[in-house]
Amino acid sequence: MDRLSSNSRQASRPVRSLFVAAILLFAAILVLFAPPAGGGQDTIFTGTNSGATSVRIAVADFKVLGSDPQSAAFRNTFDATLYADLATAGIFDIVSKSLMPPGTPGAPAEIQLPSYASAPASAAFVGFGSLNVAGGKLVVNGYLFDAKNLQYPQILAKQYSDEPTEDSARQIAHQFADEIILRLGGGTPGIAETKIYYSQASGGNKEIFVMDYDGANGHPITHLGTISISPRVSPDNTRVAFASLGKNGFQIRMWSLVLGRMVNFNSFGDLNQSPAWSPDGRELAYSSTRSGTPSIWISDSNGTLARRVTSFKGGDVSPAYNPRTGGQMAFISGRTGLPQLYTMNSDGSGVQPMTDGGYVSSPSWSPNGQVVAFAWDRKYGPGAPGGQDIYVMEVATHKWQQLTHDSGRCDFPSWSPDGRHIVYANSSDGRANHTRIWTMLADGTQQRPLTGPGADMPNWSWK
Amino acid sequence: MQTSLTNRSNRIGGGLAGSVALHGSLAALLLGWTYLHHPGQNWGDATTAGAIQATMVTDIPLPPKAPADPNNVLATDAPSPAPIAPAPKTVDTPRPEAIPIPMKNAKPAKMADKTTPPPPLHPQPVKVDPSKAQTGQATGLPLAMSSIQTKAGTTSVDVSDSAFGTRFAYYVKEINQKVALQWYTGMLDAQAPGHRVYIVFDIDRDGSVSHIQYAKRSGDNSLDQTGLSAVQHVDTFPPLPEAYTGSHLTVTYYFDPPPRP
Repeated sequence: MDRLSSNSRQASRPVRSLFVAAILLFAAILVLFAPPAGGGQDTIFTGTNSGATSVRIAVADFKVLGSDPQSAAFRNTFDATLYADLATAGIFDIVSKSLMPPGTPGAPAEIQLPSYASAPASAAFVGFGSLNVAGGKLVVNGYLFDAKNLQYPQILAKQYSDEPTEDSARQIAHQFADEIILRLGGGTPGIAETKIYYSQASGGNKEIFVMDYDGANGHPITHLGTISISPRVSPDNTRVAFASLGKNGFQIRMWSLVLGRMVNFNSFGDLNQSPAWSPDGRELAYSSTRSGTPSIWISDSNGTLARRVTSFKGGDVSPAYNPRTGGQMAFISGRTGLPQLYTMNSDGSGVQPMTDGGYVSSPSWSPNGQVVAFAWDRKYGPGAPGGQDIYVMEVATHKWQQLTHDSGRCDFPSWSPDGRHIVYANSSDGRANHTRIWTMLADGTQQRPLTGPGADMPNWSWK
Repeated sequence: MQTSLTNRSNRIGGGLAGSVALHGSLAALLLGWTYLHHPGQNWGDATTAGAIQATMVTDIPLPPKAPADPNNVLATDAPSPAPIAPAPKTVDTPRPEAIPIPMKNAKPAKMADKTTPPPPLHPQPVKVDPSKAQTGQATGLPLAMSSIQTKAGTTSVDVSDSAFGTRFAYYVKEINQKVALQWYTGMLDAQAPGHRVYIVFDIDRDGSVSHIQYAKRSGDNSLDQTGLSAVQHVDTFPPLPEAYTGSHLTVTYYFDPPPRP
């Protein structure tokens, strides 16, 4: 020690100069690798989007023409359906019925546009029209007018004609709403005519059901007398693939909506479940344990030519194609312990982890390919305060956002074809037989139930 | 070391100190490099942003919401707290020695006959005839610009063409909004001289975009680039108005640089 200290004292001058040199070197390094000062902060402008808000639209009650006694009932159904379709579209700020000007204009000559354009309605657009039962046909004339353009107000004028039934009144309202949404919603087709497939518990069994996107008209499509889960409708709306409990465990089975009966899907032993259609409708991805651990397999739509695309310890389940490209797949893997979300190319290459904690299940890729929705319990474990909620994650940046909060166990999100809505299953007390199907906008607002208890695993049709 | 006076121990000391300093600076180099150029793997971290700057606003095709003023009770999304539940009414118990007062003409309260309302009529599924092919439902028939309802039906007369901007003002507004939503201004160069970039593109009848090109550059490359990519990012516009007879619409769109703060 003594010798060393004396040495260092003797060497104090070169040491100090070297020390100064080291500090200078370090400072140079700092300057060299520091992010360029200036130009980073002051170029960030916002305000491009801040002024834009929802389109304000008014829908007048339709006018009943003619004297057919059924007309009034059809009119009520039509008005309620059209109003609900536009209110839940997510892009409109709809004028409340109590703020509407009096009167029911049935034709362009009868409408007073300034009364809609001014307060309190303050509408930018007005939908109105008439409804008539004549000659055994229900005829609806629907108009959409620009309330601010008095010279050329007409945007849309359509005439619909169908059987005089309650159901066709609802269908016409859906069609007219979709037409308005297509015109005013930036060219994205509306979803009012889409369907939701789901699994409904009935007497110890589960059958595949289908309903309209607004929860109406729910009815069974299979009568197999067993447990059928996770329905997935094909992109062309002709087939439904689902997993069904048979004598060899869960198998993928196929229902033809065109023929109204089961069609062949080659089954193998072991567990096969969670099917997913490729966006071209030619292939089906699913998880299978035929080679030991659950892996993702892809076969064609008849179950032939099956090939295995993942092979990892821990198991890979719940594939979901990127519907925009078909070239990528999100899936759940337990290779690092608890199930996590991963993406990969459809041939099994380029596996990328998306989450790194908690317990993830049921991914669903958004129609524009930019966002994945999934169920996530971020604080999973015995005694952990976790709750399973629906999240969305931007694929490019891994930024995520929680959509449901404190509403019980949420699972099985599925995107609407316009990418604005998500349907999911929620059980407020966590019990499986209390599960209902809910819908919400993709930013987490406007949550509302669509079904009663017992409905689970919803899947929104592709169009 | 350079002086001739240095002895052996002194040389060792100098070498040791030099070695310590060199290693120290190497360690500093490594640490500085790691600190500045390897921020770590922050999966799911809301603050990280990769090379592709994207916002959730354009990912999910919903209109952006202006933040509500929390002080404005009519505009806020959060409901006001529930009123405090009223305190349960206390029933004064009769004294034990009290005798109940006999009521005169005590009649049982009249109850209306309870009638159960008929259960709501649920829409029943339509039985599909499996022997028939299902065709799509007939779409609506477009009516012309001016239509008059008569007892016989609807007669309509088309209106002669006029300037697109006045006749279909709503469509022009939609083009404006749709492109503005895709314009990412975060990459604009603040120092660059820029005036206004003009971009020309065509909208076909179904709303698809084609032939995107510069009509006049601004002189600022970042403004030109962001403007062009904003138009390229639009997947589709709404279909052209039905009353418009042309096959496509040529749009000249300009981007003004935002005002400097």
